[in-house]
Amino acid sequence: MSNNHKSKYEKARRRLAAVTFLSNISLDGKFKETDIKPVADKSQKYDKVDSVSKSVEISKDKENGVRNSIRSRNKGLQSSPVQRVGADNHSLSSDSEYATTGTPVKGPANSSFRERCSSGNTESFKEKHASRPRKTHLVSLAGINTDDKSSSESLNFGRFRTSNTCIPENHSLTKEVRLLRQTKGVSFRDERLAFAPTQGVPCVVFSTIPYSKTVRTARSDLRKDGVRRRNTSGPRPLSSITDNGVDPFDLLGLEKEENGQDISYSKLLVPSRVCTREQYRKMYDGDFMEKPGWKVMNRHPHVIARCFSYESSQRTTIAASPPHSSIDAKTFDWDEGTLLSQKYVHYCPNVLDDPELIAGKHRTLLTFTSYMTSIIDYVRPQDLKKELNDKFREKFPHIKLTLSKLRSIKKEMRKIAKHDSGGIDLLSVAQAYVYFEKLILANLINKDNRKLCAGACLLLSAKLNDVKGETLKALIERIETTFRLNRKDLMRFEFAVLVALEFGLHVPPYEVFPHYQRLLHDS
Amino acid sequence: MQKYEKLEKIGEGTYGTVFKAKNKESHEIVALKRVRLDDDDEGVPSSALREICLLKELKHKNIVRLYDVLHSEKKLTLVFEHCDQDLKKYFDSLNGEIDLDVVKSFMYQLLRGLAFCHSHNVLHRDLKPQNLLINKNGELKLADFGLARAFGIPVKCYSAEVVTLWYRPPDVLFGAKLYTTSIDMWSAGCIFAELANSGRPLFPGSDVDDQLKRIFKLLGTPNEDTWQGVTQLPDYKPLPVYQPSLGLAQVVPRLPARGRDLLARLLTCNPSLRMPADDAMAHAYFHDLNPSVKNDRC
Repeated sequence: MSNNHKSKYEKARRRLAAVTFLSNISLDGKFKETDIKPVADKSQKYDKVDSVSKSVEISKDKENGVRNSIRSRNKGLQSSPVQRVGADNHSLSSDSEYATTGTPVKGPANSSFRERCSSGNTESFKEKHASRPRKTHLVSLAGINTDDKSSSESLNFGRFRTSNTCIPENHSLTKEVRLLRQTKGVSFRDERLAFAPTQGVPCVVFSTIPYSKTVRTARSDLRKDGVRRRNTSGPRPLSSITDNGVDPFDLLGLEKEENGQDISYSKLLVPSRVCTREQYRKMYDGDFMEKPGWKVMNRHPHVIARCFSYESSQRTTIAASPPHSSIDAKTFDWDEGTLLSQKYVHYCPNVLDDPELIAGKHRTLLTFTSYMTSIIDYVRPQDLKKELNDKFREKFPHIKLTLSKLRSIKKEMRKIAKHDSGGIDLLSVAQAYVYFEKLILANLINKDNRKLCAGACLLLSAKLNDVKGETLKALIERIETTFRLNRKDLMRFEFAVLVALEFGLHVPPYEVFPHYQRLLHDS
Repeated sequence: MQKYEKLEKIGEGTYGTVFKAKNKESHEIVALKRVRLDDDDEGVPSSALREICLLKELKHKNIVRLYDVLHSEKKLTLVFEHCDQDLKKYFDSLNGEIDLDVVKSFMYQLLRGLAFCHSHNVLHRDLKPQNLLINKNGELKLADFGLARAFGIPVKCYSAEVVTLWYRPPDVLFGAKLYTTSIDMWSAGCIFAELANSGRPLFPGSDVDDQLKRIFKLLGTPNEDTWQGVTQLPDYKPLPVYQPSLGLAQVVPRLPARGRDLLARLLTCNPSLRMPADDAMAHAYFHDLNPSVKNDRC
């Protein structure tokens, strides 16, 4: 092997090690696989008392840690073993790869704080400074009090909330925290305030929001209910859709019956796929019967999938859908849909809600001679969400639904199905996903009808999967409460969705199976 | 219902009334199934849903055709191909014994319709003479898909409350919640014997226990050796141990040996050993089938 090649390899290896180490440390020092969990979630895990009592030593440690980590980035693997090791152990994706490259993996570093702070991440810098208030001159804590949290939340102060979690509670630190109160001539109203250490640049900047009656009332309502208020879909509440005279068929852009006359749907009774028995046999036997190992192989789709970059995964998704692999390239050629039923013929279960679309550009793929690894940087959930939604919009510019919305609706459908006493099986959910995604792909879902349609899809799927009697009744009630719809609308949409799907509820297993498998995997 | 003129009431289906009607333009006779839609209820009845969505995909000469679905504010009307009678009525109209060639023809057509359903991932789950329609040309068609379902992905949540008792296979009688095409093959076997006996039901049980006893008296009580996993079925209960009786010759005396062999392969307690529809169609019993029936392609 030539020297040049060797050094290149060495360089790449070091880069991998360093970048992996730096990027796999999340704020709380715990490994985060996908970084999707909201910041607020993590912050709740902090042991507040601990952070208060230890903050003195730690703040020193932190500075060392930061310096160390920077050094480690510069020098590569050989220096700062402690920090590196701590991170490695939390890195799921690169554990084994490390072992193969011969990098020693030692036990985890003792303090989780150290790990958190040793990341060169800006977030933790802020946190560090924010948790040192007694050394610095705190301008004000007023804005961070829980009382005022509501207003800051409404402004979506992501960064702010993060740092707020490390602020010691008032009662335990009254001596150490300087509270600047409003005094004569000094008012924080409408002011922008900054935290800054004695020497150095401000680390937290925020504004105080004047008292507003509307904000207050809305919030106090919420507290009474104990439920977070959702954005109502559209200008009017869903429940009043029919009262306003809007027909589900209009909402779905379908033909509507006139004055009690019968509408004939004979044109929809054309079989949705023409398949010979041999083709069927090949399709099903090949996929589900003759390969008992198939299921096992795919049990960890995400783990395996992490080896692929987003682009390559797209290709695999398409190629993995066996029966239509030859025509898949044309799947989203919208102009070819001249025939009415054709728009549903080529449905690929993983195209719309691509399971690979979980990390954005923050993921780096490194290809080595014998293996591939990906590095997933920490990214703020909002940023990731935005990026994924942008990517989704780019792919499906005509769809009036964001990827995150689609996923949250699917999650809710799943939640409805899951019930301790008499829930419905995951197969029904998977099938309902197929129906719902087909509606989306057919461009029939919008803000006003998405919940009604999702509910209707679930209902239709359940009915075809032997859900009946009390279980069905309970399911309908759960759909009503979860999606906040009334039954009348749901039932009207049931038929509308049935027509929109062109009665094509009998879908082939290969359309349902990937959804079913994902549901099984996630449960 | 301007397009159709109602002629007479044929009967009550699993949901709503069935009428015989005439298409005013083409004068074609059709069967109309009327389904009431009630907003406050559970929406479209699942049986109507199944018929619409499954029959849409099942266009075959031996499966009743769904021509149209008419929708208005309060009701849904399914327009079906009309057949003169069902197999039950055909049995009743027989004076004396059935022609064995007719038995063979009907049985073959039943299997062909079933094979088509099964190849399209559909289980009928309610095969019985009342649901087999016969027209003047001696064609047999599977009808009433109100209990049918897809079976592509096996999950243990299929309903065990399927198939009319007399035609229900032992595994489902024991409460099996996961079954496959074999469920229809048992019913087909029962119907085969009934055909050969000119309409006398093979296992006219009065309840689940009686049904199982009648079956096991003829075929022998299954055990773990003959049917692995039988004791694990949800509603399994030990029943008196019967030895297989003298054979099918006494039960279906008119059926030739090949026919009895086919019947035995369909009436197999262990569902995994039960013969599938396309294999049954290739059985030696049908070697001398009238070519006009065999070649009748859809």
